[in-house]
Amino acid sequence: MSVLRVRDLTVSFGRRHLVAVDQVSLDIEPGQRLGLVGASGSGKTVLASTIIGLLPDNAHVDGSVTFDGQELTTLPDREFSAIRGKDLTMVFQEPMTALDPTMRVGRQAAELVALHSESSQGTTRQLVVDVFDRVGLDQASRIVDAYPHELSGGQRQRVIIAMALINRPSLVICDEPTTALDATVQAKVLRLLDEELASVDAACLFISHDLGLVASLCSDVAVIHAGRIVERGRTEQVFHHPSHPYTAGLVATASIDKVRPGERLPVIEDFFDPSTVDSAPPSESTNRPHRRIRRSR
Amino acid sequence: MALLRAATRRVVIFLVTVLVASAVIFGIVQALPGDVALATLGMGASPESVDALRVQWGLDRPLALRYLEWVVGMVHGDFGASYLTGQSVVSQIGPPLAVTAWLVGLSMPLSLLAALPLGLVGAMGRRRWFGVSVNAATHVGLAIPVFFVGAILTIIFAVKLRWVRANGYVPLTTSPGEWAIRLVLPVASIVIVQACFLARYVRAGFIDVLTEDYYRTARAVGWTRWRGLWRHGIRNVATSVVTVIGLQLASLLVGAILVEQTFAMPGLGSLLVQAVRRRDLMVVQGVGMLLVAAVLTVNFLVDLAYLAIDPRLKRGGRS
Ligand SMILES: Nc1ncnc2c1ncn2[C@@H]1O[C@H](COP(=O)(O)OP(=O)(O)OP(=O)(O)O)[C@@H](O)[C@H]1O
Ligand SMILES: [Mg+2]
Repeated sequence: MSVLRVRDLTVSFGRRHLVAVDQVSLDIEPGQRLGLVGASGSGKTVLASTIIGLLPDNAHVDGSVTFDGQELTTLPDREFSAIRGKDLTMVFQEPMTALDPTMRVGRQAAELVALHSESSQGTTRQLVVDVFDRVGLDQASRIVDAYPHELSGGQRQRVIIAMALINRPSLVICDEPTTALDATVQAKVLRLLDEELASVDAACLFISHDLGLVASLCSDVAVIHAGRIVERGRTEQVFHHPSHPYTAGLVATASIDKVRPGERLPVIEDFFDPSTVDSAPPSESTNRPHRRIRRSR
Repeated sequence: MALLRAATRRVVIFLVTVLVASAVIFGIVQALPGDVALATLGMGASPESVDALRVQWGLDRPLALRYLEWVVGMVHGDFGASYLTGQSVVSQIGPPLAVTAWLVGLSMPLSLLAALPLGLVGAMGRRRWFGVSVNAATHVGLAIPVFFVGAILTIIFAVKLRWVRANGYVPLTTSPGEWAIRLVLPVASIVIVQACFLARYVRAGFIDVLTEDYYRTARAVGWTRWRGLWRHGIRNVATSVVTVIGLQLASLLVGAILVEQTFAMPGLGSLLVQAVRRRDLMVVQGVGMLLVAAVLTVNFLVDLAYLAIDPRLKRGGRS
């Protein structure tokens, strides 16, 4: 059975129902790593937030998300909260602001354990130190007592990854976990993520606009464009024989064989002419176009 | 040790401010029109007898000398003596101070206690009926002057229902029951207005947190909406509320003085009004100094509280 099943998911915002995710369906099998690539504003973060149930109040959701056989879109907050952070976790895009600045990072991680189990304080601390150690934080026993502002971006992102893995989840959503980090740190953090996902046997939805990263980390890939999944398949298959013109454009901008993980790729818009594609073109004026595809009901 | 240095700096600032405040108060009081000797003897008194009285009270000596005496005395806990009665200012201030201190000391924590849930609900439900109504209610509560609230409460609970008494004050040591019964309405009047005021800051603080990435993280790790907001928002809220409380204390004291008048309580307000009327300058100075010192002390404690609340400040400056 799939860990995650998304069916005909449509997400729109506000009174005008501006559609950000459009009729998306996808499955993730246990332990599988699915890459999700698409340009900025294509709806990747919105899709991830919908899955984990953390959309803003003004969002409308249509369709179905099932996790371990359980429907999430209609799940009450209390029951959903019991899953979040335990079986379903997320690593966010911005490590600099994702941690509570007024709380020691070790305590924030311990909180996660305490929320989902009855283990005692003493053993929790040891567990946190161990996990911090595993994600390559030197002097983990000191870092647990640090506040976020005392850590570098790479260290904070390791803390966040440790938090996402500490309860041995079955699915981790990583939303561009390394875009805020510099190249060398990026490579290290990715290698670590790769190992740790394998060690806890977690499935992963890995969001990125960097094809190289996805190729090195994920067995499968889905391409999202203007809120729609335009292509889905094995990574090599999709990259070597793209069937959708958008993917073809995406691949054309990056010869993935030469790309090392962590390297920034040329942007798709430099090459891709949106008018050749049937779906709604992204507007050119802003980075995060507020497109109005159609009214959902 | 950065914490110790920061604390020391604030102590020095505190002491300097108190000293400056004492000079300002002394100056203002001395510049007040009217003369205590004249006020005592009455308009018809001969200039000779007025001068004699001034000499007797030492009012003929240079200002600077009298200021120094006053300050040195205060350092030793001696606020001087009333010109009129010869009674020491400290003993005169004592009983009224207890009244005002009870009023403020009970009102402030109770206001905060009421403001926290009001603000939390107002923030969480800001786009829903329950939050909007709470917010509207706090606006209404804020628009009503404190003595008017006092009058309305008196009419309802003391006059119509006769549950409590709305007049005067009985010391706690005399009769705890009477003490409590007479404090209920004055304290409630202040709490209603103050809680509405503070609730708006609490609400704004929690709304800030709702848009923070770390609140999203808190949700993602499994906190439910409300508990997550409380747990990871309360410190942020505390920073702004502590600031407001510090700024608010002066106006709270003024509010307490008004409420004392409404409920005929013999607090610092009545003492001050009476002393000004009689030109009893030592008492006026003493009360003024006390109020200023109270406000400054609270501000000093507020500064220390920041250090405790926000770990980023310990290094000096946010990062
Ligand atoms: N709270 C919101 N209210 C209204 N529109 C929103 C909201 N959040 C996102 N959107 C819109 O949804 C679309 C998709 O945004 P999303 O953040 O998912 O992009 P993304 O693919 O994650 O981009 P990036 O690579 O820059 O992170 C954008 O057009 C954005 O304007
Ligand atoms: Mg995004």
